[in-house]
Amino acid sequence: MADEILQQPEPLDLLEHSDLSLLETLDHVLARGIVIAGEITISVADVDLIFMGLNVLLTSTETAREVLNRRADALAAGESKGDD
Amino acid sequence: MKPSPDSPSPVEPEVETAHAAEFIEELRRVSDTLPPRINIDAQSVEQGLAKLVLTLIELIRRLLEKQAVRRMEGGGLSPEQVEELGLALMKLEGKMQELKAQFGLAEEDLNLDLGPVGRLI
Amino acid sequence: MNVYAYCLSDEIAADALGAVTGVGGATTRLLWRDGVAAVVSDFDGDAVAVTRENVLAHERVVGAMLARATPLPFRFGTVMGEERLMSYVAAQSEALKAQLERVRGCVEMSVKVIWKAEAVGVESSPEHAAESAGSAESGAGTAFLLAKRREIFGEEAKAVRAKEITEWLAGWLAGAVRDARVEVNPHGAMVVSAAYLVERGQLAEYRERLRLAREERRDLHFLTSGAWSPYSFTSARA
Repeated sequence: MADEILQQPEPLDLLEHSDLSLLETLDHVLARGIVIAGEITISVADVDLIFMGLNVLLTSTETAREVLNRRADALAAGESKGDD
Repeated sequence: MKPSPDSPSPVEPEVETAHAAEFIEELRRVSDTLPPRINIDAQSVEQGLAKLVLTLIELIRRLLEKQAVRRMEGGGLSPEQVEELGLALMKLEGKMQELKAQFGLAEEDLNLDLGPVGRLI
Repeated sequence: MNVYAYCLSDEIAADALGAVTGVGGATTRLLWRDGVAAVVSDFDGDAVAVTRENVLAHERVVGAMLARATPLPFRFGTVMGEERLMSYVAAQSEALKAQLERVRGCVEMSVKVIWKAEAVGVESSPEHAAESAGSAESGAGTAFLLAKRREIFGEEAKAVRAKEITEWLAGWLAGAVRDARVEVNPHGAMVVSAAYLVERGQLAEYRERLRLAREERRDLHFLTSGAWSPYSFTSARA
């Protein structure tokens, strides 16, 4: 395992000698482009999906809370004095 | 962009800026989060997992902080409650720093590029 | 033996690639399936190191294609068996053809924007509601929350400014681009990273509009690059 890792150049090695144009190229070829699920593990499509799901979940949680907050505010305003 | 029939001439993308140094710094930051090799192995999975879990904790921690600030602003908390809440979140932040250090992760590592959805934090 | 996949196209002439060599100096060739050609080269192994040479080889092949047609590039490091690639192309051929149609005749142009938050008028929040909370016995916990509050306000203000910049740029370029993928990051120095799909015939117009836009906002720093293959427009999802 250790040997295998030593054989692999670290990205820093690559970047130490890099210029702007190489960095822009890296930004394009490493971060974008067609991904066939399972073939490129960095971008694991499944993880993307999980996180998209999570994002939706968090958004809806927040929305739900806002609704609850509004209702609580309305209740508090309706009463003579709101307290927790 | 005329095709030359004989030798294929690659279109060399032009890069232009008056502030090269700044962009190099920023793009390096982006590139630093890219993997050294495009493959899966046990070690990178483990690192990836730690990153994933800590990112989620960080996200929840920030949501808690926001919520705490919102409650404080709402004025429904007593000064004692505010103080207690603040202390708890302060400890949480400290603990998080420890964990990050333990796994050798920097602040900017605890984020995920969600592609079309943008970044997580 | 695996193949390394560079890009897909439905308008490649058989001799189009000529002498362009790919990753590891390997000869490139075409694999056709259902009217879509994959540009590949033989690759021994299943992991590709991210080295300057390999990255440039990937972009060299994709760039050579762009000189003739507009391909859909694969992400760097796409390695698999030939049959696996072909079954992917067969299974996705309709979606791939539709996407090739969306980018046809276009190139991708990038714009990145760096801002200096202080120069853009982002400052810490005004104090108002906090007074009520931080009354007499404000200890470390209260101070912590008040600091967080300022931080959150600052970030919200930044997010608003970042959105303004995004919309301002979109307004300038609207007539000259077919599609756009824009990432906004109000928390970093590089606040906007945008990719625009520009028809080749519209490139002069695009460049002129961008030039005028840049003149209008001298407080922002721009990095423009292109023409690229449509790396950011390989899927239909917006």
